[in-house]
Amino acid sequence: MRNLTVMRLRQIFSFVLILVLIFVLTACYSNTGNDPGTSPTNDSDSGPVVNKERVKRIAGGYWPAPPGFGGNLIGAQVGDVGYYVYESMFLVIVGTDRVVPRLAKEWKHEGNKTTVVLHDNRKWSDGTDFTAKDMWAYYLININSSAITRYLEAINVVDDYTLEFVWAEPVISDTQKMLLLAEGWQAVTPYHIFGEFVEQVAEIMKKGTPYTGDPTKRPPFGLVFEKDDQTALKNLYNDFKNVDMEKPIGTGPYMVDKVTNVEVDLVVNPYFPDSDKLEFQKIKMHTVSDYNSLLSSNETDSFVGTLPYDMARMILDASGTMVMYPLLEQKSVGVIFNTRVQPLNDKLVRQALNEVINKKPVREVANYWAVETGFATIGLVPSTIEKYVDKDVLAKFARYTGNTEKAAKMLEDAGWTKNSQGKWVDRNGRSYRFVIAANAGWGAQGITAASEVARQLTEFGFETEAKAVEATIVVSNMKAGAYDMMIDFVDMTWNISDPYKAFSSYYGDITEKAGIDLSAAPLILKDYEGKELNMKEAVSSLLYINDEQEYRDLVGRIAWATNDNAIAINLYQNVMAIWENSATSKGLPMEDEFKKYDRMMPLPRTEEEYEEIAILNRAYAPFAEVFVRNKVKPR
Amino acid sequence: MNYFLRKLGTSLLNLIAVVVTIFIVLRMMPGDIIEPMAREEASRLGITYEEAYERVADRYNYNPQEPIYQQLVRYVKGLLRGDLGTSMLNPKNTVVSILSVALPWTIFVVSISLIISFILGMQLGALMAIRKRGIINNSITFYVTIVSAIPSYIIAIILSIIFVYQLRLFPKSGVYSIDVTPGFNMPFILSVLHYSVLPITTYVITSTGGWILNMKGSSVHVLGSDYVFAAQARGIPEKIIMRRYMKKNAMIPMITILAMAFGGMIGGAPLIEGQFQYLGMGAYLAKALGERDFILYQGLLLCISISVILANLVADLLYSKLDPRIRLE
Repeated sequence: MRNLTVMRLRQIFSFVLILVLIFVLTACYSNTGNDPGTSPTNDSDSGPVVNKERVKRIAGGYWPAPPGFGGNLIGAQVGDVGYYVYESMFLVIVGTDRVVPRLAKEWKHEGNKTTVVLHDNRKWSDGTDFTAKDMWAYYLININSSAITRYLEAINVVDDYTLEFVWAEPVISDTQKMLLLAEGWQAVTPYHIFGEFVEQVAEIMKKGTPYTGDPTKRPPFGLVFEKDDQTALKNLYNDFKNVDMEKPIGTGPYMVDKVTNVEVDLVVNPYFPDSDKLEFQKIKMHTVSDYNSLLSSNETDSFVGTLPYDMARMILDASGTMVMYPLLEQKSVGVIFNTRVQPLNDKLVRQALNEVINKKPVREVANYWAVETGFATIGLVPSTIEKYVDKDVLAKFARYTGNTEKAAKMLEDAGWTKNSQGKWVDRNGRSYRFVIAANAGWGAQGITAASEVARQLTEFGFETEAKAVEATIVVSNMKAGAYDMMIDFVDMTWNISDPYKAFSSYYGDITEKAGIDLSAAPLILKDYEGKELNMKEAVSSLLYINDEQEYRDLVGRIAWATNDNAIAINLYQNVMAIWENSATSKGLPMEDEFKKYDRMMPLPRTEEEYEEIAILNRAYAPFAEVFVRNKVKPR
Repeated sequence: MNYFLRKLGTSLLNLIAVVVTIFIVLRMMPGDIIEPMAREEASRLGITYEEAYERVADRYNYNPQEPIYQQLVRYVKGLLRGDLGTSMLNPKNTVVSILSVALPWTIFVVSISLIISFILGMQLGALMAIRKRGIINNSITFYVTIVSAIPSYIIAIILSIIFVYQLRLFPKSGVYSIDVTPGFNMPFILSVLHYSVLPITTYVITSTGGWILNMKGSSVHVLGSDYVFAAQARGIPEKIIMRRYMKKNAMIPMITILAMAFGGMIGGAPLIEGQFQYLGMGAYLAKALGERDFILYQGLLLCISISVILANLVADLLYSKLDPRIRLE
């Protein structure tokens, strides 16, 4: 028996030894230099290294894995790679709303026309000249899905480098014109590739008849089509989005070299002006499942992602060279009330609940660097309120400070009392139990914030339960009235912080979640002077106001009324974290203060600092703006 | 022959039931995937949420208004032509093209892992049956207890931290290096091997325990059989009893389990593949489900179902071949 065991053990050990040998041999393969998975630039754990190849490694992002990857952006084949490959006429730096011309050289607004002159030295990355017809192609091909077309009569190609935008009556303000002209990614449909589709759309457009109905429902270019033509347009769009291109063709500074499911190599587009002067000659995008380890081990140069305070500190200490910049997002996180159910249909109760919540502990568990606001919700991005609302008006806004005694008094004045179990009951002796839903995919921002709000409400006397709900269900359920409250974005815009954009999002998406159907009946609220405002109409009228004071006045009234109506609680304005590796890049913002803050930098203190940091985030300044400026350099 | 035809018929019926069930259940799932995708698109392209919603809805290759029976008829007609459909989110991704990418990687990694863990499991299981006490038995029991208690993705994370980020011996993620040209060339083959080591190691570590316990149970059962006692009474050497009587007979149920495991492996392991971003069936399944890409998901599930049904059929036939006492009738 013993011999048998020894023999068997010998067999097993031989087998395991072979496996270990294979393991070691394949591991050695990484040291042959054939493997780009390891860093080409940074073998040191801390301190600067020489980035000879002028490569920027960017972690995170999404692109379809081959064979899904291709060159048709509208066909969802490109993903985040497009940030480095494409350009638009203008670029808006999110947060400052500063418009930066890119493909546009000059522009002017005259009456109902805007003329844009494009640079005449630009080429697509396949070498074809970029002309005004390429821009025209974008707007025609996206006729039904581009917001600007609803405010336009026509787009005319004046010459190879001049476009004329003819605005529909009533003409929108110059500010709104610029924001619409800067919206979306435009130089993405080269005419020399998609021309046949564009020309067919142009032919169908000739058959359209002028629209004469409700101006708020104006169709693209104010044209109404017969059913056959509508179908033809839809089919053309389908055929267009199914066009298969091997790689994206853009006018931007970089172009795609190689792609796998986890890596994209971008090289300089030789046709981009002064391409040889770009500081970074290569961009390597890469994704992993564990970004904490990636950052800790300095295996990347750039990443955008917010982490809990302790984890962020741990990563900074482990890495020795990573720098973290917190940056205010144009989004707030808050609790939206379902105003269809009792007692949340009562404004006074909503205001009292706003007063109950102490926002600091919520902010600390959900997003440490975020900024609390004293408002209920105002419809605007909170950090922009001083920019758009006069000081004297701002002084009239109700503030909510987490004062539970004040909240209790508000309820008592309205006839509420506490029962023997310490729970609030209304005049009819009815007590209430709330459910707060949170998007399960939001992590700390969702269920952790919801749990803290639920704890505070329960402690105050309203039994409340937090519930994590799957991402694809939570919004539709809330819109159907399934929960009493929901944690979601409030007081936000998706990009530009302009008040019209922010209010449009509020009086649409947020009100719908709160159970207010603006299409069924107008929402009339009173402003600080007791004047009635039809909220939807008031918001729409912002589009057409050119006078700055008139604009500020109306913004102030809408924001005040929104805050007073209190259909949600603004918990905090969100902050994202941007990570950069000081070992491989120099010229980073606040570089002389890295030591002072131990690389966990403070929120930007000036608009210039904000922009310097914002451009490090491709979502806030797309089209490789940070690399085009050449301020951040390889070491 | 009758037995084979009957089994084949049952398998076909199973397949039809699977096709219809998957099709209906997926369409009954609640949720609006366009909503979160529109949020992401609005943020990325700098457009309004409403505009983003319209764009995503236009791009979505699925019409929820179409009656379900019409969808089913269209789907079955496509199946009969070998067309499993096209992803709802990306017109470039047909189900067949995704299968052609994902299936080879999954088969490659899982079959190697399965073979290694099977061999190790058989040897160690038999050893445990022979040596019921002592340090070897205790060590193996300890190992099995630990790996059974730790979820596979935790083992994947631990291996990643040690071998990728600390020792920097293996790549972080993916299936092969971006710098090699896919094809039959040495750099590509070496790169594929290099990238597959950690996923394979994770599979082996997590699945060996099951094989060990199965083999131990089977061996102990065989060791208690009358024919083993009879052989011992006849004075047949221990070595021969172990090899010819115990191991051979104990492995019969293992072989059928192995056949079934090969069928089941086509589904990959979403958590392990997810950790290493290994582009196999499991990773695609998780992605398709997360994105509510029903067409892609049902195509992948169908492929997995076919492999499981086939594996069952093979296991049934194999069992009768391995054990002459079992007749097909």
